[in-house]
Amino acid sequence: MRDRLLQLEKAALSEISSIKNKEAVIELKNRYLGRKGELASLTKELGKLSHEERPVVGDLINSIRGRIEERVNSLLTAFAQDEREQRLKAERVDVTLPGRYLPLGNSHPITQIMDEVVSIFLGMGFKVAEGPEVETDYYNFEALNIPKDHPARDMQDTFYISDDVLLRTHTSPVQIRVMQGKKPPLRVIAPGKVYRRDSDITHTPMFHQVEGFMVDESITFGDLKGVLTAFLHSLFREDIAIRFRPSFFPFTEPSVEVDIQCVMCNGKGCRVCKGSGWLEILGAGMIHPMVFKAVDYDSERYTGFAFGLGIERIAMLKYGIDDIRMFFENDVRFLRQF
Amino acid sequence: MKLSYNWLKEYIRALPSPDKLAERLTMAGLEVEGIEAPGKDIKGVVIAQILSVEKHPNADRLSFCKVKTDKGIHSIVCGARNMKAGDKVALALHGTTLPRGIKIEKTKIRGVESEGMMCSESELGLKDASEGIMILPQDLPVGKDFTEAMGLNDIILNINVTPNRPDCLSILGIAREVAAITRCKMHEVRWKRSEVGGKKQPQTSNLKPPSVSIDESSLCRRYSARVVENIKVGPSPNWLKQRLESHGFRSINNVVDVTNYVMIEYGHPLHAFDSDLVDGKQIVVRMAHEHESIQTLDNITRKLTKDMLVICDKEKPIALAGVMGGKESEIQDTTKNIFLESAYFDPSCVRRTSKALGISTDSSYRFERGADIEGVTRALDRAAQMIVELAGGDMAKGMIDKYPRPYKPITIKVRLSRINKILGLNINKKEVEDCLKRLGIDFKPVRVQKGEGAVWNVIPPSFRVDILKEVDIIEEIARLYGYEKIPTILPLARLSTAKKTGVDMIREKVRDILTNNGFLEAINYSFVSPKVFEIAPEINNGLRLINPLTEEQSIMRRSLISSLLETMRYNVNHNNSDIKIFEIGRIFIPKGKETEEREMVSGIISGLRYGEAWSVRRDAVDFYDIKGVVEQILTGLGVANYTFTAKADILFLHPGKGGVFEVNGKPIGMTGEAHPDTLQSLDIKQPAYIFELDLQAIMTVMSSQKGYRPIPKYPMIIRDAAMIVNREIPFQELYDAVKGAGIKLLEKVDIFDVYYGENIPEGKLSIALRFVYRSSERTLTDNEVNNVHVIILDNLKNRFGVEIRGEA
Ligand SMILES: [Zn+2]
Repeated sequence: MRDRLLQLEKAALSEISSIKNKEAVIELKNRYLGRKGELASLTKELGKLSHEERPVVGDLINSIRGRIEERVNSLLTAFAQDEREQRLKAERVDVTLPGRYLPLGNSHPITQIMDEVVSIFLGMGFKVAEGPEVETDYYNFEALNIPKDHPARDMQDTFYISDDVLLRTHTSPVQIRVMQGKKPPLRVIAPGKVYRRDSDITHTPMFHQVEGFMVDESITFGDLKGVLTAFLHSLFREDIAIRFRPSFFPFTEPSVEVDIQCVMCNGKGCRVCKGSGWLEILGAGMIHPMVFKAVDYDSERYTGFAFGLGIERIAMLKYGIDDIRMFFENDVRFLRQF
Repeated sequence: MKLSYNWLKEYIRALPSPDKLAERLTMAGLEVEGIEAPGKDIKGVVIAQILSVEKHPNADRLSFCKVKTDKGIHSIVCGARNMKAGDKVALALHGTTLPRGIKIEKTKIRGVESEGMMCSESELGLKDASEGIMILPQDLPVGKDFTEAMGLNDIILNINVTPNRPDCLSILGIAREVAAITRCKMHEVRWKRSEVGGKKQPQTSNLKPPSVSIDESSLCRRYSARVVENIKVGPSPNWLKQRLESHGFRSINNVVDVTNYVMIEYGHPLHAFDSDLVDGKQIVVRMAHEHESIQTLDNITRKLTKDMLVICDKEKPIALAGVMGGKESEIQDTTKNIFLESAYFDPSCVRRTSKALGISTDSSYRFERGADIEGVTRALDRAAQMIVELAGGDMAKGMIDKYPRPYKPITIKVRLSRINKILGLNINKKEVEDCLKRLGIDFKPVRVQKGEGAVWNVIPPSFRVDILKEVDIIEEIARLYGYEKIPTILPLARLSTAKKTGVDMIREKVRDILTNNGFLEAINYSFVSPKVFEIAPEINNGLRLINPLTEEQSIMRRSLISSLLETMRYNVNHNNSDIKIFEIGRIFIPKGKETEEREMVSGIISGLRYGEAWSVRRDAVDFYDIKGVVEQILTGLGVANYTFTAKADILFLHPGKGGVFEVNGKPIGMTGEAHPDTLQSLDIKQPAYIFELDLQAIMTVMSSQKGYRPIPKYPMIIRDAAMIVNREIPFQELYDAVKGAGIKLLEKVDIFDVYYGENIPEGKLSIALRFVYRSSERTLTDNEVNNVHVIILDNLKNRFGVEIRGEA
C-alpha cells in the first residue's frame, strides 16, 4: 500500500513536471485528487489495513495529497498569471495614435488683444463705456474741437451717412457722452469699432480702437506719462523703452505721440520701424479746454488726459502680422492660429 | 513737407548733422518720417563732354568715344547708343566705385583701351532701371563733381507737419523752429529789391498796374501785387530746377518756378497772371456769381457757386482765390508783362472751395491752414526780384497793397502756476521766459500780488496762427522744455470698482460657450454689398454710405448672417469645408432719422461634425447641432423660460427647418438650415446651419442669479416607454402634455430615442421616453409610481392616439 502510494506520488509529480497547459493540470488534478480520483480510490482501501497501519498510511495519503495539491495550485497560479499576461498583451493599443477630442475654437486675435488692453486698464480702476458707431458730426468732431472746414478733419477721412451723420472715426465721442452724463473724477476706457475711408496694407476701412481718459482736480502731463508707461510696460515688456514726443490732436493740448522701442529689431532699425528703431503706438494729450467747455466742465478746476490706440496695430506687432487685411478675411487657417 | 538740408543750412550755418537734426525735430513735434540722400554713395563721378563717337573697330554693338574733362581727354568704350558728340555725361574714371559696388578700372574691351565708364541712372543708383546713359543739361561745367552739379549732394528730410503748424511749411519756418530748438543763430537770407524808378521811368502805360478792389474784405484781408514788364519767359536755370524737383515740384518756366520757389522758402503762395490778358486792367476780389465758370490751369472747366471767392478782371473770374489760377491769364512762352499776386485769403473759405471743387494744391493747402498775413509783401518782393533776375524785365515802381484792416497782434495772459499745474512741473519764471524768447514770442510780465506766481502778457508773432490761448503757450513751453524731462508719475486717485459693461460680460460668456464648442470667431466689416439684398430684399432699406470705398462696402449690415455666409464661401473655396464660425457685432436699423444699433451674435456650421479624424465618425452636422448650440448659449446665459417655435418664412432659412426662440412672446433669435436658394445664389454647394441671437433682447430676459437646490436624498424610479406616434405631431406637444398632466412625483422626462423606417408604419415614428419619478420626502414604491405613470400614458393615448409599444 505504502509502496503504491509512493509510486503514485512519484508518477503524479513526474507528470506534473512535464505538464504544458492549464487544461492538463486540471485533468491531472481530477485524475489524482478528484472525488473519484486515484488517491480517493486508494483511500477507500484504508479499511483493509490493520488498526496500527491505518493512521500512518492515512497521514501519508494526506501528506501526498498536500504535496500534489501544492504543486498543482502553484502551477495553476503560474498558468493564470501567464494567461493574464497574454490577455493584457493582446489588449495593447497603439498609444501613439492621436487622442480624441472635440477641437476647441478660439476668439478672434483682435478680441484677444482688446481683452488684454481692457483688462490692464480695469486693473488701474478704469471703467468701460461704449457708444454708437453711427455718430453725429457734433460728437465725432465739433465737441472735440474739430470745427467744420478745419484742416484737422483731413487727419481722419470720414464715411458719411448724411451731411450730419457719419461712422465714428475714433471712439473719442464716447468721452463726450460720458462727460455729459457724469462729473469728475472719471477714469474711463471706450473700446470699439471705428471707421476711416482708407484701405491698404496698413489700413482697413474698419478697425478697432481703445480710447481712454482720466479727469480729476489735479491730473498733469506727468500722470499721463505715468499711466501710459505702466500700460505699455504691462502690454509689451517691463523694460521696453518708451518715448513721448510732441504732436497735434485738436482735442488735446499739449498733445503727444507715444513710441515704443521697435519690438522687431529691439531698436536697431528695421523695415517695420523704417529704420528709426521706434514704433508709433498711441496718441494722447491733456484734454483741451474747448472739450471741457463743450461738456460744461470748469477747466480751471479740472484737468485730465486722454489717449487712443489702435488694436490692429498692436496685434500686428505682437503676432508679427504684416498685412492688416488678414484680420478681416476670416480665413480659418489664420483664425485658428490664435 | 520735403526739406532741403542744404537750403536750410543757408539759414542756420551751425546746423546739426542730418540724423541729429531729424532727431531734434522729431522730438520737438516735427516728425521726420524719412531722410533721402540720393547722391550719398556717388563719389568721384564728374561732368564730361563727348567730343566724338565712333564705332568700335572690333565690335558692332560698342562705340568708342573721346570725352573731355578738366583733366584732359579720355578714351571710353561704351555699349549705349543714345549719345552724340557734344553731349554732357556723367563720367566715372578708373578708381571710382559706384553705388551698387561696381568698381571702375582701366580695361581693354575687345582690344581697345577704356579709361572709365559713362554712367546710366541705374548705375548711379538713382533709378531701379534705365535705358542708355544719362545725358545731362548742357549748362553743367565740365570737370565739376557730378553730385554737386546735379544738386545730389543735398539731403532731403521728409517732415510730417501737423495741421496746426502752417508756419513750418517753409524753409524759413523750419529754420525758425530749428533756431528755437537748438539755440543756433538764424541768418535770414538777404537780397536787394531793384525797382525801376528814379531816372528810369516807366516806358509804356503797361507799367501802370491794374486797379485792385476787394469786395469781400473779410475773406480777403490783404491783397498785394506788383507788375514786372518786358520779361522773357524761358526755362529756369539748373539750380532752380533742382531745388524744385527735390521738393517735389515740376519745373515749368522761370516765372512759375519762382513763385513756387518763394512758396517753399517763405511758405506764402503766390500767383502770376499775364497782365496783358487781364481784361480792362482791373482786378476785383469778389464772390463768384451763380452760373459763372472758370477754366483752371489743369484745363478743367469748373462751375462756380456763390460761396466761392474768385479773382476777377473787369468781367469774369480769372483765378480761384488761393486755390488755382485760370487758364486764360496763364503765363505762356510769349508773356511779356506779368501781374504778380500775393494775398491773404480766409482759411475756411479756401478750404470750402477746394473741397467743393475737389482741387487740393500746395497753395490751398497752405491758405486753409493759415498763411502769415504779415509776410505777404516780403514774399511778393522776393519773387518779383527773382523774376527780374532770372527772366529779365523791369519791376514797376510801387507796390499795390490793399490791407483795409491791418493785423493787430493778440495778447494772451499766461500764468506760471497754470503751466506747472498742467505739466506737473515746477519750472521757474526764467525758464519760461527763455522758452518764449527762443520762439520769438513777445511777453511782458504783469504785476502780481506777492506770492501769486509770475503772470505774463504774451504776444505771439503773426506767423504763429496756432497760438490763441494760454494752453497753446503751455504746449510751446512743454515742447521746448522737452517732454522727456517732464517727470513720469502715477496719479493718485480714489479707489473705485472697475467693471465691464453688461453687454461686454454677455459677449464674453457667449464667446466662451461657442469657442468651447469648437467655433472660431470672425470679424467682418460692418458694411456689405447691396448684392446681399438680392438674397434678402426684405432688409433692403439699410443705411447707405454717401462715400463708400467700393460698392461692395456701401450698406451698413442689418444681419450678421450675410457676412458669415460670405466667410463660409471664402473658406469652402479655399478647401476648408468643415465650418464652425461665429461673429459678435452690431447691426444697424434705420428708424426715421435715427439709427438703432443692436448687438447680435450669429453662427454658422457646415461640413463634418468632428472634422476628419481617425477616431470619430464622419457625420455631417445637421439642424440639431445648431439648435443645440443655441440652447447651450441660452442656458449658459440664464435664459430659463424660452420657447422655440417652427416657422416657415424666416429670412435666409429653409421653410421646413427653422424656427424662432421667444421669451414671453418676444423673439430673441432664430436658427435653422440655410435656405437652399440662398446657398445656391452664393454658389455654396453644401448645406449650412445658422443662428442669430439678439444680445440686447437677451439682456432684458436673462437672469444671472444662480439658485441652490438640495441634492435629492431619496432614490428615483425610472420608467421607460417606447411609443408609436403620428409624425405630424411635434415632440414639443407630447412633452407639454406629459408635463401638463400635473404629476408631482415626475421629476423629469427625457427623450432617448427617435426612430422611423423599417418596422414602423408609414407616417409614424417611434419615440422612446424615460420618465424619472422621485419624492423629496420618502422612498417611492413601485405601486405609487405605476399609479401615476399609467395616468400619463393614458393621457398620451387619449390625446394623440399613441400606441405604447414597450415598457420597462
Ligand atoms: Zn525695427
